[in-house]
Amino acid sequence: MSGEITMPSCSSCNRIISPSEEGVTKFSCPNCGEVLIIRCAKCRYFGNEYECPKCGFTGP
Amino acid sequence: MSEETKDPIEEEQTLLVPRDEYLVSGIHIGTSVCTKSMQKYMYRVRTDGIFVLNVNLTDERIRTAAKFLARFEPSQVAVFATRQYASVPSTKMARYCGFKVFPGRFIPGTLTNPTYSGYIEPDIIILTDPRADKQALTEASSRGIPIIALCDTDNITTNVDFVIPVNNKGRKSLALVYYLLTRQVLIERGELGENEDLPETVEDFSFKLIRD
Ligand SMILES: [Zn+2]
Ligand SMILES: [Zn+2]
Repeated sequence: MSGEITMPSCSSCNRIISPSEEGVTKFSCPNCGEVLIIRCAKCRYFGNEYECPKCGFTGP
Repeated sequence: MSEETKDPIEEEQTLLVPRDEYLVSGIHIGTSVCTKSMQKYMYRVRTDGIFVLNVNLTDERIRTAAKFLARFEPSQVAVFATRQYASVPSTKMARYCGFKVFPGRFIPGTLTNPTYSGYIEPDIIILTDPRADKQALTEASSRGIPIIALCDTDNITTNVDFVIPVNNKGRKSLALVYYLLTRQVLIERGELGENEDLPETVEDFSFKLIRD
C-alpha cells in the first residue's frame, strides 16, 4: 500500500466519522468549492460553525 | 433617504440591486424575535422591537449560495416552498434554473420513502423556511442531504448547512430573493452576462394577490 488512508472527520468538531454514521452531510465549500466540508449529525443539529481551511468561509 | 442608507460602512459595498430596492422589498425586516443562531446577521433593533437584518450579509450570502448551487447538476436540486407567497417565486426559479420544485404541502416520504411514487434523491435542497418546511428539513437531514435555507430572525438553524438571512415571510421579499438567486445562478453558470437581467422582472416573480 502506498500512502495512508485518511479517515474523514467532521469539519466542526474534528471527530472521526465512521462509515456507518447517519445524518452526516458532505459538500464542497459553498464559496470556493475546493475543499470537502463534512458535518456530523450532532454539529448539524446544534448549528456548530464550520470553516473552510482554504478560503475562510464560515457556515452555516 | 432612510436611516439605513446613511451608514458609511454599509454604503461602500456594491450590491446586487440598489440598496433602496432591497429596502423597499422589506428583505431586511425580521420579526420581534431574534434567535441566538441569527444574531450574527442582525443589523439593529427598531424602536418598535423588530429586528432588522444586515442587507450586506444577505447580499453576500445570495452570491455565495448561487456559486454553491451552480456547481450541482440542475435536476439534482430541489426547492421546497410550503409558504404560499413562495410558490410563484420558487417555481419561477426552478423553471429558469432547471431545479425541481415542490410548492405547497410537503408529502411525507418524498425524501425518505423509496416506495412512494414521488420519491426523489436530490444532491441538495433549498428550503423557504426551516419551520414551515420542517418535514423536508427532517427528512433531508436524516439522509445527509445538504440544506440551504432562507432564515428569518426567528428561525433556528438546526440542521441547516447554509443560511441565507432574509425576511422569508413577505411577498415582495420572497420575490426579490428568489429573483436574485435565479439571476446569480445563471450568471455563475455563464448562461447570463454579469450585468444582464432576466427576461422577467422581480414583480413577475411575486405571488399575485387577487383584487376586485
Ligand atoms: Zn461534528
Ligand atoms: Zn472555501
